Amino acid sequence: MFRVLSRTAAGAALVATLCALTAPTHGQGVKDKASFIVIVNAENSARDLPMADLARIYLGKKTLWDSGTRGRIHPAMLGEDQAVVREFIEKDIQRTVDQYRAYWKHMLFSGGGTAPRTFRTAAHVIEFVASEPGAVGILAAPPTDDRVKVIEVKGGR
Amino acid sequence: MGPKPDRWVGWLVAGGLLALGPAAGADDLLDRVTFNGFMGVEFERQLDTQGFGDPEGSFDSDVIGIAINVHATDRVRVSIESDWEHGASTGANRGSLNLEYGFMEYTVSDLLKIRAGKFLTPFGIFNEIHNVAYTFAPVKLPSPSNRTDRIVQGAYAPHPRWGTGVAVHGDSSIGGRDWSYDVLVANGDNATVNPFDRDENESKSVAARVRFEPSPHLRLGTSFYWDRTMQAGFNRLVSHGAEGDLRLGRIQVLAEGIFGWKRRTTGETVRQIAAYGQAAYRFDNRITPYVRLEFVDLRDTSDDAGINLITGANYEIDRNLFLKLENDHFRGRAKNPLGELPGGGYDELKVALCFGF
Repeated sequence: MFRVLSRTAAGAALVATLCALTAPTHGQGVKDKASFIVIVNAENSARDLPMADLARIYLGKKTLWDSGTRGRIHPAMLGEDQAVVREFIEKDIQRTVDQYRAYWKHMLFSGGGTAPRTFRTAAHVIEFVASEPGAVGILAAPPTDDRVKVIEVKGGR
Repeated sequence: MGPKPDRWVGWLVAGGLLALGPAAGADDLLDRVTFNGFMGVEFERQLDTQGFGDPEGSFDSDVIGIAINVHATDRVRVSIESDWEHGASTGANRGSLNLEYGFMEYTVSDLLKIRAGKFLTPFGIFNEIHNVAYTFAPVKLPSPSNRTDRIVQGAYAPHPRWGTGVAVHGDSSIGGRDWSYDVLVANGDNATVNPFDRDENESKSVAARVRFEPSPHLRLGTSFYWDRTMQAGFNRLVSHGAEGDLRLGRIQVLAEGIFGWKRRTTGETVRQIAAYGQAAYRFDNRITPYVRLEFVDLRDTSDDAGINLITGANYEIDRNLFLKLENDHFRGRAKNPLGELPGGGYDELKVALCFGF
């Protein structure tokens, strides 16, 4: 009995240590203002999005909108070579770009789903979001296209 | 007799495309269908004169795979992966063509996605990506996860690689910490008939996995498999697994332990424990050295445990194109056939070129 308890305690201590070592660098619920812009289709009734949900969308864990038609979310972004995307992946999704790519390889080939669409230019991201009612996109600067709208990102990861 | 496995791909693709509806135009179709794939070519050579590897040194056209996803509607998806292994040539009865998975999914919510079809058993880290080598650092998946017999003769797979039936998957979060689950109810192992077509008993196998992320850098999971197996001489297979995936900056550490038992029709059980730990570090120059220690032991047979210590590195030559080079160091205890070799085992060189898109 003592051995079982001591092993359980050792296991719990190991997990606690790992959690402490891997604690989010931003701190839960505390984050500087987002350095990127999140856009959705102008017809989308959403006005804001928690940062945690945004991260879960780009990890394929959240696939349906909470409001409106509750339709499928179609995430889009610029390529990983763009600074705004790298920052989003590293600071808000909290993975290196290589780890993020590896994550989606696993997801894709295990049947879990397909990765966010990537585009070469902001204009392409805007065009995609404007043409797809369920789309969400990440940009470095506010768009000047009334077919899409900017929504506020709230909280931290 | 149902359709041959290679026809499943065609039927599933056709079903998915029909579900798009007559109103779907060419642009809609392209937006809703994604094609991805992967390929791997290997070379293996046993470095010692005696061993159970490949003493001649051989090239292996290991695998070419295609994955198709059809988002028929906002909530309906068809997902298929099919591969050609070892230069498949059915006329010459060489290699194999496999439907790795092919299922339909209906999303009720993110917490409840209902699936039906053929699946890779959701157990542990590697089974569902076992042949997609460009997704992991070493050349092969860990032997303890499904090919325990590579290390210990007579060791068994802790679960069948595939199952046909119904499954559910869900993602959610508790207190900002993500978690997910998978459950698959399938026919289980059969002795004589195609298990993806018919079952030989009324009992169904159950595979389940739960994963929890206490931090964005750490994922822990546990898996379970139960089957009234029809394998010759056995009538029950039970496996438990625990997994961890830790990412600290450029370091990734994976670990998995699997223990369980098979029960013979005569009543006695064969207990098995298998585990591995793997660490990799990705440098700026796209070189990733890695090390993996694998261990397998049949608990009811003394002195038969075996290990494989893998040391190697891969280099990402271009985006998603990897060259891998490693040494596999197999060693066994006295009653393991590996242990009877000079030096207690043998070494094997493995080289692989892998690509994915």
